[in-house]
Amino acid sequence: MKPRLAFTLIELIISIGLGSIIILTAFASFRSVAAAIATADRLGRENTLMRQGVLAAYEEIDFWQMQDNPNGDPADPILNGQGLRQFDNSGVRNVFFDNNYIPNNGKAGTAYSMRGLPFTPFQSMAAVTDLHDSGLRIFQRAGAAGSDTERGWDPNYHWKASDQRTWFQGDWGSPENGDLRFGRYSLITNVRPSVTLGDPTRISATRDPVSDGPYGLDMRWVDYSSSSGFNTGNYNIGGPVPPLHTWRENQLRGIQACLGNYGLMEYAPANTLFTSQGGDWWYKPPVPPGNIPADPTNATKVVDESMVQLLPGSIWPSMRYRGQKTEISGPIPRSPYIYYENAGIITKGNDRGLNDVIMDHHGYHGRSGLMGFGIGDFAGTQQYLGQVKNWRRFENKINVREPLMVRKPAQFPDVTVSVERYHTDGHFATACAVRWVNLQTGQLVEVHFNGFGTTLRGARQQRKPGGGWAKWDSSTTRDLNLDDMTP
Amino acid sequence: MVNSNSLGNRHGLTLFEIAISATILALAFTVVVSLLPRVIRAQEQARYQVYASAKVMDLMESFYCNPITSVDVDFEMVPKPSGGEVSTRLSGRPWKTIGAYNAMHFDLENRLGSVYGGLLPLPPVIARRLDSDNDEIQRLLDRGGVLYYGNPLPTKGIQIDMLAEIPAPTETRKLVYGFIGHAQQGTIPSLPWKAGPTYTSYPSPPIGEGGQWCDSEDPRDEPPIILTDPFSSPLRRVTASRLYPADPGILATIWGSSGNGTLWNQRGVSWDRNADAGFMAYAGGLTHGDGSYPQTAERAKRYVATAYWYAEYIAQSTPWAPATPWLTGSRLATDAEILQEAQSATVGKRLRSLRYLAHALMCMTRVFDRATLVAGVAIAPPLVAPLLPGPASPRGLYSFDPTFINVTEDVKTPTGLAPRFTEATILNIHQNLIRLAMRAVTERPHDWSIPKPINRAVMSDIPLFEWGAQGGAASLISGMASGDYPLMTARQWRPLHAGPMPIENIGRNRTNSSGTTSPMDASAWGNPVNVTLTSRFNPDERCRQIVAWAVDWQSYEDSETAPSAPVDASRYPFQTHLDGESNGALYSACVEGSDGQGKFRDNSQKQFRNPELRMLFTRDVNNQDPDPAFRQFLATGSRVSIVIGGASSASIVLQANTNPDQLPDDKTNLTPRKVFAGLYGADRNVNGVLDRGPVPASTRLRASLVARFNVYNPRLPLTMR
Repeated sequence: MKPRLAFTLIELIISIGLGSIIILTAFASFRSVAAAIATADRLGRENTLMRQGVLAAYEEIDFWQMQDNPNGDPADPILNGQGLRQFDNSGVRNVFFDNNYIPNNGKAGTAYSMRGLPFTPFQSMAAVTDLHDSGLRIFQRAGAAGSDTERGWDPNYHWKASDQRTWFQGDWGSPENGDLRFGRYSLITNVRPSVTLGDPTRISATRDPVSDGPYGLDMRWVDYSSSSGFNTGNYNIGGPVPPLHTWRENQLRGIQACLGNYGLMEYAPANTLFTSQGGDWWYKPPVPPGNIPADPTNATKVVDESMVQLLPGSIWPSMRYRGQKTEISGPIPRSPYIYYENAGIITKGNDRGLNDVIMDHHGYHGRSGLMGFGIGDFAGTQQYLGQVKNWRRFENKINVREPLMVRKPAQFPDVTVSVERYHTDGHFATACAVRWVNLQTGQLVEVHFNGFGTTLRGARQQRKPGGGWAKWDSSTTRDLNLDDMTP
Repeated sequence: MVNSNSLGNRHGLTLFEIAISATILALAFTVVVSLLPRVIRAQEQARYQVYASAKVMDLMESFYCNPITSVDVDFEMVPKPSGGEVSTRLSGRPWKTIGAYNAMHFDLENRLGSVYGGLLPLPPVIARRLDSDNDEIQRLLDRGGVLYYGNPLPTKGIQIDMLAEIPAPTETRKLVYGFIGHAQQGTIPSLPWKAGPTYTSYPSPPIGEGGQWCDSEDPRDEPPIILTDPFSSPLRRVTASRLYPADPGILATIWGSSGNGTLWNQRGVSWDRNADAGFMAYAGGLTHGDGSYPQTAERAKRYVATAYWYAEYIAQSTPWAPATPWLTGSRLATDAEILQEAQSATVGKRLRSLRYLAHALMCMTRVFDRATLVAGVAIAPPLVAPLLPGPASPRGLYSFDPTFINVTEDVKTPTGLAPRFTEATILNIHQNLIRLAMRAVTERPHDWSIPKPINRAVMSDIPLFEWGAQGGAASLISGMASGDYPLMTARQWRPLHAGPMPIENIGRNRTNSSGTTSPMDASAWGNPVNVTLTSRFNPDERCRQIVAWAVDWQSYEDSETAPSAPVDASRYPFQTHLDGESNGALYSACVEGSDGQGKFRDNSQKQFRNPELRMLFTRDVNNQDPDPAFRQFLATGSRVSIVIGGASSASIVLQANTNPDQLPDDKTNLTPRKVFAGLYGADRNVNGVLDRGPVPASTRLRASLVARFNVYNPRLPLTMR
């Protein structure tokens, strides 16, 4: 056997040197690779989450589950994720108006009819009454189909332009609560089946000439040329008058009562004039014009025949594409939770909160309530909402920000998805945001975009009144959905 | 069992072998490590693609879901009141209309590369420094294209511009976009010769063609709003003096007296003092100049009298079918009667007169006691007869100036009719009117003497007009751009109509009944063989491509101080002078707030201004401007806006001043024009701080391709929802 030689010292030193170099190189390479892999992994994970967030936003655009979860929400034992199906039937209008609109001459707490939210089933709203007439049911299924007396929502009817019922037949040239200068168009169309026109017995003696100003818009029959000034004659001789048409006014006001402004603009055909005949509101001009003699009777308050502008922001008739230039109308409230602004907390099912949300959604809170923005003034709106704090207050009422993943590894970034829906500038905005915190820098970053998808009407038709998803695309099966009024 | 021999024959690795192995191992590591940056770059690319996809989806939403015309302006042909322009405007001078050729086009790039479209033009001096594969960016610029960057403000679908409380990822600011492929021919938004509202309300008064009338304000402050189409905002308040109804019959119905061809704003302090009959005498204002109220039964009757006179005047030349109830309201018209009338070629004239009459009659329900009206109110001959021409008389209740009204001989013969109207006949006339209007616009959709009823909600009604760009310079309409200031020659393509039937009565909507004006000159039309709107096409023929690149252009030292891209003047809603106007400017912007000096009103014309409007610097932060008031040296990192989203007098960002009358860029002298043009740069990341990046302007940067998106550019304007 050939004797084996040991390594020489030089060999050993070289070997150790080489080995060290190899180890160091490998270690350095390993560290670099590990760091690079970690970075790539983080980027990849963020990208995946971001992509999933964008996809989740698009899915939300189509299915509205943040606003209403047909499957229910165990995290919300009170409202079950379906808070926007509520309606308020408390009969108390705990709401203030601004922008010179004073309901019933400024008397608060006036009784009013029930009001719904975007996902309130039409079935639940059958008893809804007109805002201006608590005895008038405007949406309960009744009357002969196709006739002017038909009431309630028929999901199979499509507002044919050739149908005389769908035509606006009021006075386009007059403002809300005007003086009926161009005639009593309530003879032709009104929300009520019979209207009392210019009834002197309904003149109020309580009008305050100071607070109401020397000039109140007078809807009575008046002949100023008579030597006695105000004439006591009236158009109520013979009693109330039945208008020729009532269907359109009931439909529009019924939709608005059920769904708010957003739903109104969606459900009514494009380019609908959002005005209707038959109101009892009072409009007081901001600055009483001069050279107006005092009203010798010191009272004018005639109901039934004023025009009512259904959208905030203007006393003039407006359309979705017109006249909504500077407004935000009918934002969809956050849901399923009801935001109770005064307490600064989120409550579930709180009556006061519900009232607030409903009033917000219907635009009654006006500018100071941040939801109605009925100020009709571009610069004012812009300056107001241009303030970050105001915008955030507004967003607090509409923004639903949900985590992309309820449970996740701790090293995953927190990704949230939010979708805000409102109508502005003739445009249904669906503002989506995917937000996360950069794990390396701690920076809060957001990808935001608008998307288009399912309408509110489509979303309602996706849902069963009692919960669950409705089948609507089958030729043999059609489940009842939120738009059906009869079981 | 181990073979000891074989063990004995094996040798250890030699040093050389180990060295080779180590080298191979090191190379392998090196290769792996060198690949890792590419992996990271791929992840970055994937992230850019997410950003770009979200942005492009947002752009598509903006393109397809916003109202199809600007909410800021509309562009009716509005003739000049004094007459000269009325007779000449129809002779083929489309530049007399404020709808500039590019202002309202439903064009992809035109709409998206604007204040609210989502894209802002990258300063050309920066765009010219960017390299890309196949030099695609530079070739795009060479062909006249524009490179854009995404609006850094959050997308809210609302005209609130400074909501930057949540920073967008900095990576998104590196994305730039270009439109590849040719711009597409589509419908033109409005025919410049149209000269009349597309829509009106039935009934409505004989002024403003459906104008709204206020009752609590002085109408001088609230002139009528004219409708043009339902997809735009109300036409802004067109200068009242331009609303001249050239038909003297209409004028009489409005004024009930001679007037002088002008409207209320030229009639003295009390605009309706001398109007003794007609619409204005009844409707206007709170009081007459003498303190009396206008809404009296007497004045209502005079309004009815003038409207009835006008209806008769029209009916004598273009009569209604015999025995029909149109002017008497004795009964509701039958469907057959409505159909017969609706198909008549002259129904537009009669329909209009009936619209006025119904409106006047409805006014009587306001001022008469119901018992009186049910019994009937006579519009007695004395109210009608004095309308007939005769010797001029002192201005009285019923007098008209025959020298102005120019009533035809037919009307000089008294009809002897003493119409009597009751509540029932008034309602019948109203119902007959609205039924006839609906049917007429359905039977005669191409008759532009019939304004479409705004009472009926329909989605779209877009005439198929396009510019005939074929034929070269010889085929263009040409003329002088200015009436009194013939400083330059104007040219325009000829319009083509692709609809199945010719449009009738173009330009006659408001002026057709008396025959004193002419319709659109037939010679203005282009050759119909050039119509392309209805031609068959493949989808790819009308597709453009939005290309996204990533490049850190905001690291340039002048990323915020570089001048804006040139503002596209073809988008301005300008018109040339109307004949007879003599202000000093060559062009005037005929929209609300226009002062004839080319002044831009922010609240009216944002859509057409510098797309970087809201972030423009109002002074030269490099301290180079000759005007000391408009220069200031600011160090990098200086605040340029104290409170983002809030007004601040110390801010030098345009947005901070929200008063449209005080914007630094709306004056006519030179320096504000520099602000308007963006020569001082802009806060392009909207962080409220002046940024100067580390990369010198002499350095070229390479833009890496992120994604390409094919986009269909439609022929017709549309709104998805």
